[in-house]
Amino acid sequence: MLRKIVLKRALVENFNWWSDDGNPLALLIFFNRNPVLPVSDLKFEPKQGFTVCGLTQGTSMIPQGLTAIKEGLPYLLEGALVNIAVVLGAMALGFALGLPLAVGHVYGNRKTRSLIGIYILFFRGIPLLVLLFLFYFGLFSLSGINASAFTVAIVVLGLISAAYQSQILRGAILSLPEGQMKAALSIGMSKKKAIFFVILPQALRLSIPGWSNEYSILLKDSAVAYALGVAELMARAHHVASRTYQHLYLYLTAGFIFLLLTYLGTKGLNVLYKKVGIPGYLR
Amino acid sequence: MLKKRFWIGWLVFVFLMAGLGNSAFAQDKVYINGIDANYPPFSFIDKNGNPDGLDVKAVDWIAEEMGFKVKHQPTEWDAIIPSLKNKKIDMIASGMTVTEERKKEVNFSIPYNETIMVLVTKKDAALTVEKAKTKDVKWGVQRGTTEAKWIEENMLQKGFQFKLQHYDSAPLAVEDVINGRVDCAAVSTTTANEIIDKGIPIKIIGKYGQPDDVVAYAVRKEDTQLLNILDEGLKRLMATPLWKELNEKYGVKK
Amino acid sequence: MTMGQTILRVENIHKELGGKAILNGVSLSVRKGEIKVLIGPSGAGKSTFLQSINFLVMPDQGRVWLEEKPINPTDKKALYEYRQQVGMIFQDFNLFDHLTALANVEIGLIRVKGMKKNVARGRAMDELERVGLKNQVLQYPAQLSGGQKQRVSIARALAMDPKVMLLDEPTSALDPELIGEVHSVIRDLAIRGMTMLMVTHQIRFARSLASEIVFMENGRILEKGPPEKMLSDAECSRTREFCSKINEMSGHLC
Repeated sequence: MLRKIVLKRALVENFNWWSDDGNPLALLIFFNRNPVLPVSDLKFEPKQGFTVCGLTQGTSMIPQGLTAIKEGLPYLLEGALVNIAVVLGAMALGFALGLPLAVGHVYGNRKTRSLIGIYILFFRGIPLLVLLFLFYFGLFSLSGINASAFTVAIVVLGLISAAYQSQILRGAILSLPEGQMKAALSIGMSKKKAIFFVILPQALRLSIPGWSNEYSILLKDSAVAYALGVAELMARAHHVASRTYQHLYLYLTAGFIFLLLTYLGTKGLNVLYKKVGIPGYLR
Repeated sequence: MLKKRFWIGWLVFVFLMAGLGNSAFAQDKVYINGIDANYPPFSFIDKNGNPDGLDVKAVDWIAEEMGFKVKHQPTEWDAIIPSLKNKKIDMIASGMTVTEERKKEVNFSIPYNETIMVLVTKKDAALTVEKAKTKDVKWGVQRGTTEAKWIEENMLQKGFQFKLQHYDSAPLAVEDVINGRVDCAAVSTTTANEIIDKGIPIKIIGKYGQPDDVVAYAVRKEDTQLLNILDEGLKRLMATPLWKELNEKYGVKK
Repeated sequence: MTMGQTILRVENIHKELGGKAILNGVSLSVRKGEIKVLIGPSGAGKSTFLQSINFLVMPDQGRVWLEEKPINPTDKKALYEYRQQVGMIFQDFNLFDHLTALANVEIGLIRVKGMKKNVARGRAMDELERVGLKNQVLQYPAQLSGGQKQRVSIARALAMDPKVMLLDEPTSALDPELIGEVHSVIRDLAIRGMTMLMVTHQIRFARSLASEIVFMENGRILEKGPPEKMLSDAECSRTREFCSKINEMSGHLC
């Protein structure tokens, strides 16, 4: 009992803000779980010299920060959906293009291989932001197609992902024993059939861990779409922060949501990997 | 089995792209208003995630009055004029200051407010405008704004030695004032008053020399029809008591 | 066993790899029902020779006839047809790891021969039963022992109804206990009249089965003849040298 009183006092002294009728509102939050506090009711005096991550009023603005998060959460989560949509679209495009690129890179003739090499160099060598602006303001305008920032983000991220995914798949294909192709040919399969029925089923399974990596990179890169004005999670965190001035809390929340999405995605891919795993192998 | 998944993945992608392609084809003509979503009180996103602000509400009223549909599209401010010219948006109603340079790129409607540029500092700072213009002082400003340009051309290039830091939005610049990373920020009085009303501990220390300007809506040079509609609508709006109410509601003081 | 027509005729195969001549004009023919065994030191080119017969390794020079019909490796379709009729068994089994034993045998029937799934399945089951693997049909290669894997690969090759089988050291990768089961399957094939060309180091087995022993060294056939003659009374000194080594290793054979 005495401990509780001492703790209460310590909290009041530390947080040092109150509403007009003098109630230490910190206690309301922490002990009574009083939800939404109207921002305008609070006056505050930051504790002298207290700096949290560079924000001098950090601690004393916790309830406002939480309010901002609570109010803005649906808006932010909608933004997270936009990120997921971008990631899924980019991964799908990356896969659809990356697969033929990988096969061409392994089994193609010299000309094919050097063309593919140029593609990969281009999309791996130029920064994402540059490519986004190049496509959004340059190429799409020139060609007359009026594509939304969302579409451009998916297209550009997809093209880049194709470059990386083709390398993942190529590595997987090359790691298979030479004998697999030989055996397939020896029973009369054409190279095409051998690739489709023997090589790819195995190589694709081996690529799943690589995709896990690609997914988390794409998720983080999707935040860059903010620069084109796509209303995804990062942009929305900024919108709410501009209205409420709770930058720290909002970016922390956004960061946490990204973290959660990365975790869930890679976990999901892990489950997929185990599910399609070939029995008997400890892959 | 894996083959089936491959084709499903392809289909998903195709449908996704098709769905997105729709955005390229307008169904009913809806005018798109490009806004800086981080510029209260003129344009910002409310707690429900919808565009709000003096300009947003004004344009909504004008649209209804003049008989067209409008959609508000958050756009990066420093790319907003290229976006307008590339037809990604049709108008800019977002507290945009009228300048001679901008007039070369776009046409402006009649003005509806003034811009008075001032410096803001932390509430307890001892900095004066004179001291702010000296070496080793750091200023913050939003990238791509008239104030950023004016300060560059008329102060930094004319020998003043303070440092200028650019930010993606005005609130971010003010945030860094509060953090102490910059000593002061150059914002409009409208922005400054709105922030002070929210209870953020900053104060205005005074004008730094930029002449006052006006704000108006911007359209493409060839869109004379749209310009006329907006001018007419704006005139009508400013004649109603609603205009005063809106200004008060959003804390825009003349 | 009646000596029939020549099933396989190979003439003057040359192959250079990395500047070194692996095959220096090797010629061979095999009649229906014959079992020819290739022996020789490592690096003699035996494997390469076998693989150039079905063009897995493309020879620089030389021609191949199956049942007196010349094979043109540049005609893709004809090449694929031809390969179905020449079954190959590898030292490393080379089973398709992502498929069950049953699927391994089926896949050629379904995807190459174009059989209907249920018909292919029936045939595959028969072949697997014949090599004694009725209870292992749904196991994956990783779950099978070496001997079982090799038997599956034999079933897989047999399902294509080959006219001749090429066996490249079929038991070299097996533990001694498992060699027996593969040998008995091969013996079974021989009894059923399959024409075979086999590379092996298992001299005892070779002697019991072979119609002819062929000795290769440095990409050339040095000597060939019936087993009793080759393994005890060889003319070529090199062959005798080789045989005496084999003698030392395996006891009383040569």
